[in-house]
Amino acid sequence: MRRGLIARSKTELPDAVFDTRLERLRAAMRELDALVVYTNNTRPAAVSWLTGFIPYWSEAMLVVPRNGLPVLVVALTFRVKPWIERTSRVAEVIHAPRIGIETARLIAGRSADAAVGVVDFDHLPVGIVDDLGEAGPRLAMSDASDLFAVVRAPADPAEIMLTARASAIAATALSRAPQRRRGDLCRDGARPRARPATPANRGRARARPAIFGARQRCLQGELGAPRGERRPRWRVVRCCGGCFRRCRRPFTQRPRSIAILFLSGGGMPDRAAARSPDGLRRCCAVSTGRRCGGVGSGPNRGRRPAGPPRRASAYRDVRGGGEHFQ
Amino acid sequence: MIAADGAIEVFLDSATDAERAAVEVPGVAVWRCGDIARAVGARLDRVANHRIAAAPRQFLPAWLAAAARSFTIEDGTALLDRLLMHKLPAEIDAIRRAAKIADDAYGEFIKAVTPGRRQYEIVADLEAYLRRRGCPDNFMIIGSGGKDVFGMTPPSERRIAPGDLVTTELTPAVEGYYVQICRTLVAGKATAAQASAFAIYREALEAGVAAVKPGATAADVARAENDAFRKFGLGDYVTSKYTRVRGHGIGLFCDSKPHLLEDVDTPLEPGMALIVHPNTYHPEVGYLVLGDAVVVTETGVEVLCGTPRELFEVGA
Repeated sequence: MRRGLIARSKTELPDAVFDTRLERLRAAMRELDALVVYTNNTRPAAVSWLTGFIPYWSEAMLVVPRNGLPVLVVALTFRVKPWIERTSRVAEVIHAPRIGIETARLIAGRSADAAVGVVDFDHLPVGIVDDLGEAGPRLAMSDASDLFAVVRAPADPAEIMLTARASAIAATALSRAPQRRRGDLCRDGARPRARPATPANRGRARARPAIFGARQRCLQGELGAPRGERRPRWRVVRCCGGCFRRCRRPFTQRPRSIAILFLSGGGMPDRAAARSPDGLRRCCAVSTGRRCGGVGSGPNRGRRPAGPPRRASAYRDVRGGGEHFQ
Repeated sequence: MIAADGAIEVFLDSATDAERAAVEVPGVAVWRCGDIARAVGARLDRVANHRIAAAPRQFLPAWLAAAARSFTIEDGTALLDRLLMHKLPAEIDAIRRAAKIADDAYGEFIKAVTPGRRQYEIVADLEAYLRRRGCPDNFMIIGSGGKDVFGMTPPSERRIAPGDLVTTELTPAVEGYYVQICRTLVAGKATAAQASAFAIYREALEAGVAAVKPGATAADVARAENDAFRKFGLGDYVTSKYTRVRGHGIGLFCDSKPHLLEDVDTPLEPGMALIVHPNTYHPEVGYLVLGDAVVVTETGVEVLCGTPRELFEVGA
């Protein structure tokens, strides 16, 4: 979430840069009458690239018509309009509490049957989709993610320059950071192991489980779930020796999804095998990324069951690329 | 995703956040996936015969709410709002500690403001201070100037000038729980007009805090604050043209329910944590803020902020 100084230097990002980006986008719009891009304080990238606008708060929609200047429909108070105009390249700012309604009215006002492309339509908040449909029932909306991705992909010189500057700042900051212990780095030396290294994290790690446990009990009460059921915290399954030798540290996981417990330091795995309640069984291959011979017995032996994506392990070494979680 | 038996799964599309979540919330299943909507959808397909609700439902990805899904998602917003509004003792304790840090941080803010400094330099000092105090997050906006200022924004390159009213909302988080303090200072000696205007805000805040008690509503608190302005002929300045809310809930988000507005009838109950802030524009001097975090107790209200309700003067 962006905080702190949000400014726009017309030296670094002159108006011509944004105008060129918009022209590239318009050239790709083809049959579309308008393109709509959503932004909020956690997903600012697309609208920021097109206009420089970064919402430190709340949400907004950028409407790019085929002809004419783009309009930013924001849920922020109109009292920050001067700030938006100062920090962004936008032609018009409309303030509305329900940005979906205002966006649809804007587009339908020109053409009730307009073809509207929506970037990342699948992840647009459903409340906004409902509002778009309410105020523009005849608008033909379609997903424009691929269209936008192609336009967005190449970095222009301004972006490369700013990225290089950010990189230099980061390098300077890192050079001033306290030297880390060797053991704190993963093998590629690029990222630290995931561990609670700061007082804040330690305090958080201690306090949160207690608060969450109380919260869960409150929620169970609200949902009418049975209370007082004793749920085993850990389940232990047998692991094949080959996989175990590759494991470096013990880790425990909730029994519902993955149920594996290892012993550390060369000890033998506990042979009190148990299956997870829903029949999914995985072995330590989950953590090392390599399949093992299977766990226990049953229909899933030796096969990786279909299901949700892989889950992250707090104790797993970080590899380069960040894709190891899957 | 939270199951009725308490099992929790978190779906994230960021590897960094997935790793952080796995550390910060042990015991929660963390999934890293490229397309959260489809990943959650695949998970929900397996429990499609269960009763499923989402909160806040309006922010669900549209794909999940589409009619073509095998599952139906009801609106659980009211349920979650209720849980979020009523804080547990451990949560109130975290908010109290955050309030102490907010008070200390405002003391640092006073030291940081000097004529000639840019707004972002002042905010940078506060960010560094709060990080050193172990606060991983702080939502902070600032305003400086005179009658040309109608509100606060993220810091800019604007320099503090002598005579400026400098307003800020400091919202540090401790263990994920946000608290807020709002104060105004003058870069120099306050003028008679500024002091006179500020007295109205102090009266409004005191009236608002006095209205906080079990059984009162959010509307009662807002009305008590606004009536103080109306008494001085400033009724226009408590409307949406000049101000958003007269306060709001605090906790796991820096702005949550209930919003303190005259048309919000949410009853106040023990355990709620709020910020009461009659922030608005004054036609003679500009934008002023004053706000204290409070907790609704069994018998009334506990004020969490200890910073005096003064119009501070810096370098006077």
